[in-house]
Amino acid sequence: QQQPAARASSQEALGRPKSPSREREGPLEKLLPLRDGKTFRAEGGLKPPAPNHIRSSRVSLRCCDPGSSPGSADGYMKKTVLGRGKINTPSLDGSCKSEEDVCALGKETQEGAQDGSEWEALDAEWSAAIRYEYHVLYSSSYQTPVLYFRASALDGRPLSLEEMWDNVHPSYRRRLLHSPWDTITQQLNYIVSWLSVVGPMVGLEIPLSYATVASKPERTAAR
Amino acid sequence: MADDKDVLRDVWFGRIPTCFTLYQDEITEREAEPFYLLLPRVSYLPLVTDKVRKHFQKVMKPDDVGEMWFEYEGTPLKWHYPIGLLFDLYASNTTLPWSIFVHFKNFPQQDLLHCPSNSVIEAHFMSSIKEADALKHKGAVVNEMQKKDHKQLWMGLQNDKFDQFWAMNRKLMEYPTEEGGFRYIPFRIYQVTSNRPFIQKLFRPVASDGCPHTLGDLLKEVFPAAIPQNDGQKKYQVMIHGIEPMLETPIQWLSEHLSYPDNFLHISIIPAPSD
Repeated sequence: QQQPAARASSQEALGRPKSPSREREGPLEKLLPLRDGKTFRAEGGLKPPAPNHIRSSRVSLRCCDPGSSPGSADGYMKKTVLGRGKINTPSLDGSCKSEEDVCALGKETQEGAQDGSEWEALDAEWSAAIRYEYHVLYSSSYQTPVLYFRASALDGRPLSLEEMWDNVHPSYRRRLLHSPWDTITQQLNYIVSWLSVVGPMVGLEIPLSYATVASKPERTAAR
Repeated sequence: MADDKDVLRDVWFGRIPTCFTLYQDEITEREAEPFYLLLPRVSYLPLVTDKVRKHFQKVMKPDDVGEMWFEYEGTPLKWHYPIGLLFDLYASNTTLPWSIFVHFKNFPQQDLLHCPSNSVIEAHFMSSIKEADALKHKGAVVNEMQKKDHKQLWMGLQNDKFDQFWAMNRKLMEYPTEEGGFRYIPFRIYQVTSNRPFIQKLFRPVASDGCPHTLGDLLKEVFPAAIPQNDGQKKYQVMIHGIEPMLETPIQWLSEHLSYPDNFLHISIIPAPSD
């Protein structure tokens, strides 16, 4: 059993990937073949790769299954974060909100900000410790990186779907529910770009230091 | 010679006679009789066991009825695996009926996903179909379908409607004639003793010289130990839908005819019986 870190948000080392039989440059190398057949390397520090023409790629976002390895993958990155959030008392039957209720959650966010006297109550409500686990894998089925995430209380109980949505920032809820997830950008550093888009939606913050710019930024085309 | 379409029906309508017994630790107000049911091989446990829950609820207090889960010989059964796969993997060489224990408390969170509603099963099912299509057609067929078409696939499975399901599923089984098959074959190989949940790799149905790959070719690539050695000793059985297809069977044909409704070939590798 791991000891939770004292700080509200701590970061464990990125996991060691299982690399295919290609030459290794560093301990955290991850190879990502592109659709046009060219490859590039991304180190654990997520520095930008050598300039290559990078096509936009599909991204997907899915929840971790405790017993299943998510598809076949060669490279692998993992991060665990402790955060603060809202957890309900677990219910016996494990019931969760329907899709209509979750849409209503999105509408709730349009209400005005609470006045001062209610901040304390809110603060208490949002002070539960939640353990987020993020895995980034390359999915050979989709030929794209996939972000898997899992959230649990400190006792290991996984968060329900309703609790997950409660902890998604309101400005992201509607976007997640209604916007298509097709593609992002053609920036050179597409892993960082992609992670910086999908990550915050599920509580994964990408520090600015990850985005070291090595060359002139190209025109971005977001769909 | 049986028509290939008959194979599709035989797969869809395969059933496993099952005996559900309430686990002894569950608290009942009176004795619970076991419940017998024919389970569809191609479906999922929570989709077809409402009757089981209702049967045992009758002898229990509402407070004692938590989320239902199933166990076979000490192993919690993963509901997100198709029923036929679970049976082939854990009980294929045992006498029928399949004996399953029913639990309503102590849900094993480390082993099983929760399944609070049918929409969870639908999401999982559609996710598998999409992944299979990504492998077969780069996702082109699924993306071209409308939302109502996706719904038709799910409703066909949920309501056990072979024609409704296949009216849509046949589109997922098409491929350009000049290619000779799908881009890659959606398959997963399961083995109880392995520490990985399953093996899934990219595998083309047709070799570069145009020769169709067989089941034997697939195994040689991803599980060579399953191929019997020259001395005739067979260590493993390679099972799909309760049968052992010949190793010479073209993998493209297997994918078109013996896939589960989620469009994956779920293959079990089990120890050969030692009689």
